[in-house]
Amino acid sequence: MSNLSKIYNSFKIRLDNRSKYLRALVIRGLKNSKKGHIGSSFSMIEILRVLYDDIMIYDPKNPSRENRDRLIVSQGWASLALYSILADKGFIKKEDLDSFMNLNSKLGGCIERGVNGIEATTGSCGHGLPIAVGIAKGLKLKKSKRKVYVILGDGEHGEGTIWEAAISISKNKLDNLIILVDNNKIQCSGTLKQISSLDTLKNKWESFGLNVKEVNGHNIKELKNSLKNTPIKKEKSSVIICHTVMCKGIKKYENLPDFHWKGVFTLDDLHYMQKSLSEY
Amino acid sequence: MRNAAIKKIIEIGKLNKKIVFLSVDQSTGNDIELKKVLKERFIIEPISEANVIGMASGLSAEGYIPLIFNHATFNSRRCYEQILLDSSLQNFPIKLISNGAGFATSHLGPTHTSIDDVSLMRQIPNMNILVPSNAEEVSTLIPQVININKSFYVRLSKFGIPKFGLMPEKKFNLKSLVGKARIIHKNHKKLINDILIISNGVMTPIAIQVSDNLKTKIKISVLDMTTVKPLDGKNLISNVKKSKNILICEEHSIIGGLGSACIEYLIDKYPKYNIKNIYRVGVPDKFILKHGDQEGVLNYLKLDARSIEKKIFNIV
Repeated sequence: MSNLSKIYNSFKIRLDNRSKYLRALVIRGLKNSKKGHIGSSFSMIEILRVLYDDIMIYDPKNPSRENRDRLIVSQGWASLALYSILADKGFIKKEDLDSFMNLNSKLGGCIERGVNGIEATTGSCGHGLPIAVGIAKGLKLKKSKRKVYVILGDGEHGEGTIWEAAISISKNKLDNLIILVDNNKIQCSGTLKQISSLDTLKNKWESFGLNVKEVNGHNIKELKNSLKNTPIKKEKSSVIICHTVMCKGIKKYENLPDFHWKGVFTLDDLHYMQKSLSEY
Repeated sequence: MRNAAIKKIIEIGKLNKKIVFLSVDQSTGNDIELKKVLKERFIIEPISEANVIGMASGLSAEGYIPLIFNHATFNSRRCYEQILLDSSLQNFPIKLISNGAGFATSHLGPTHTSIDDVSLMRQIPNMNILVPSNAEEVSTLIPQVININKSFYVRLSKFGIPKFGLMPEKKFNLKSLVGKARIIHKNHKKLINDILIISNGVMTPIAIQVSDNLKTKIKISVLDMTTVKPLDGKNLISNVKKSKNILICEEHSIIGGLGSACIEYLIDKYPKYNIKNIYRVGVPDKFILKHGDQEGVLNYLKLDARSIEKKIFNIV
């Protein structure tokens, strides 16, 4: 399947009840904060869903147990998506989402360590991958069989640390490190192509010696199959570029840079989001 | 100082299997022995300071003790946000072994001169800052740096035995402990000092020389403040109380370093002290566009023994 058809398919794919339910949890958090980075919170739901439903080994009752897979969501501004799946899996309570971004809430606008199930604080672009490199190296030194999954934003690829890390990943042969790119092609002030001239992530990662696969980032089956077959090659880290739609599930907001971050949501906006999601 | 640090790390690394040594493409002087002892825990990373700090934080998250060996400038301001967010904020302790600090590589000019590193590191919560003054002190401190489960910035200069100034005499308490200041020289037997010199790093041997040179004229004690953070405030105040004047000497910008730390502490905890009695010498707030060796630049900045003696004569 060509790159273009993958992108097209990520637009037209419908959402099943579970995907809608996880997005409804995101909206539940937004009801309290009335603001948030909704673009990537909606675009990476299926990536998180497949990791937690089908791929990763973890224990919500003992989040720091040694024998667990590690997940670092480097696009920490999409915290609400991660907090929603953590609530769904019992790491935190669903009611915790009702305090999202409150003064004394543990759940902030970016991902923070200290919340059950969170491995690392992220939010400043380009920090998650180097931390994941260290964790992956640490697991190798321990001879652990566990894996490290990292979710990167695509706009975040403008940071030098991503490419510093790419060199280190290849050099250290970290095949226990799996990178998932939430390739929704929109960043804060425009499209990825307009702002960063980045429309060929595949070639860039491959040129650093990593194995790359492209999938429809909203297709559960495709995501599952790709993740179950990692590492793609021994001694090489794998990159799965997930073609996604920014704000997937909220029809009128999809693919608009204005909805990367939204500072005010009215009650009408929130009602619209719920309605759009239920009809998707 | 570098050799003393590396020798100690090799010695400890034989037993402590949690140590991971990350060199950022820097010459350790003994890669062969480090590799032999630490095996796969000796890692030379590409020139990628920011990634290395993130990586060290990840290793720390997995229970390892990462030691990052790099030139001081590149181990501080080059990767500042990573030290702050990846390590300190998340409580993933790392040990920054920072070589060639201050004007140790002044011949390379301002790109390699680190005179803001202490100031930057002081801004980071949970960071401990050490500025030792000779190789023996480095050997004493490195095991503490490794064993204490906190982040450290260790500011190493060039020479094991100071090339200028005097080594401390054995009669003073020379055991250097993290978090403890110590009187390293006193040129008189009275209770009250005319001048209390507070110094660290390469300024300490110079301060000792000043104190020794003026022993028949001015009553001086030298308080060696190796740990800039956390500051040994108790010791600072007890010595300040016994001194008519204070002179703080640092091979660092006068903004944010040892002088700032001492003055801020005194204002907060001992406001009765007359601030007019505090003097300091350091690097002025401008780029130092000089080359040559460390001694030459210190002379240019009037941080040499003779200039400091003149300053003291003006004070008393």
